[in-house]
Amino acid sequence: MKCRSDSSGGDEPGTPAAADGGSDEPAKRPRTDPSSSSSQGEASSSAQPPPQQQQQLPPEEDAKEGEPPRVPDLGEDLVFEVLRRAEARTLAAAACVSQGWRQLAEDERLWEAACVREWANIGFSER
Amino acid sequence: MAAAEGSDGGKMIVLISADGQRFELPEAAAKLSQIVLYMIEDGCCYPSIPLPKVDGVILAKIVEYCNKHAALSSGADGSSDAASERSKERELKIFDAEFIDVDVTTLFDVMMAANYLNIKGLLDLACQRTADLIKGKSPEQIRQTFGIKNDFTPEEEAAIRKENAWAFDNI
Repeated sequence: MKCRSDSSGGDEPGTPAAADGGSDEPAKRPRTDPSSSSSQGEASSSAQPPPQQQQQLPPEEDAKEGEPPRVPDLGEDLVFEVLRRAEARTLAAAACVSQGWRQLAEDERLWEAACVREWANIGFSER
Repeated sequence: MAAAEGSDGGKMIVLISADGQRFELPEAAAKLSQIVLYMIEDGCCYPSIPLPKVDGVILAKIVEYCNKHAALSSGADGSSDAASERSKERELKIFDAEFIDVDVTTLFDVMMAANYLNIKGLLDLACQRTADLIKGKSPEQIRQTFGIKNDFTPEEEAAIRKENAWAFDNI
């Protein structure tokens, strides 16, 4: 999984196209495109925070919580496979986990699978 | 090289884990892995199949799964009546539930190994178990489960949480 620990994407020069497109509805894009989530402009389409308010969490806060146990990085494909089995509420929560997860959780195939599964259980079958 | 023969006369396949451990299992069990199946079909499975991406602890789990499923798969012992099929299915279900009831690190290692070895049933089992683990959890709980760092800015997180607020009524 691509992990972006710095949030300097919006300040980077050389992403004028993405910054210009900030007010548009983000277009559907391939979920493996690494450039699409790196720009602040696309990350949130409605709320555009001024850059000076962006603050990194101080590192001490992480240290206080203690080292998390070693968890293997599943990679995008396997997280996708897990989310394919998740219900809609879990997908919404997954979208709030991180930038990478947000991109994965926006995939329409996941929502379609969740809807089909939920509707399959309420009697909308041919029978 | 001549194939090793198991106690029931079937061929035996030897898998070697990343840390050099040997696992011998019946061909029928080894074939549950699509990758191993291809190697058997291509005749490049003797004297052994090295699996440099899977360590011994996890490969032991994988072999346990394959042995059980091959032994209880339909028609494995020649019986075909519906009652015994049903009882085998029940036994497999119970086995699967106990087999996958492991800590998250082992679960993820098993999932990655099942993906690498292309064992569809086991991959399904591990993915479903993980999906069940995060069901009804908050984003922060999911981060803890998966060891993920929150890389949203506070403003981004507020915006996206607002977007998905409908899902958090009960959390």
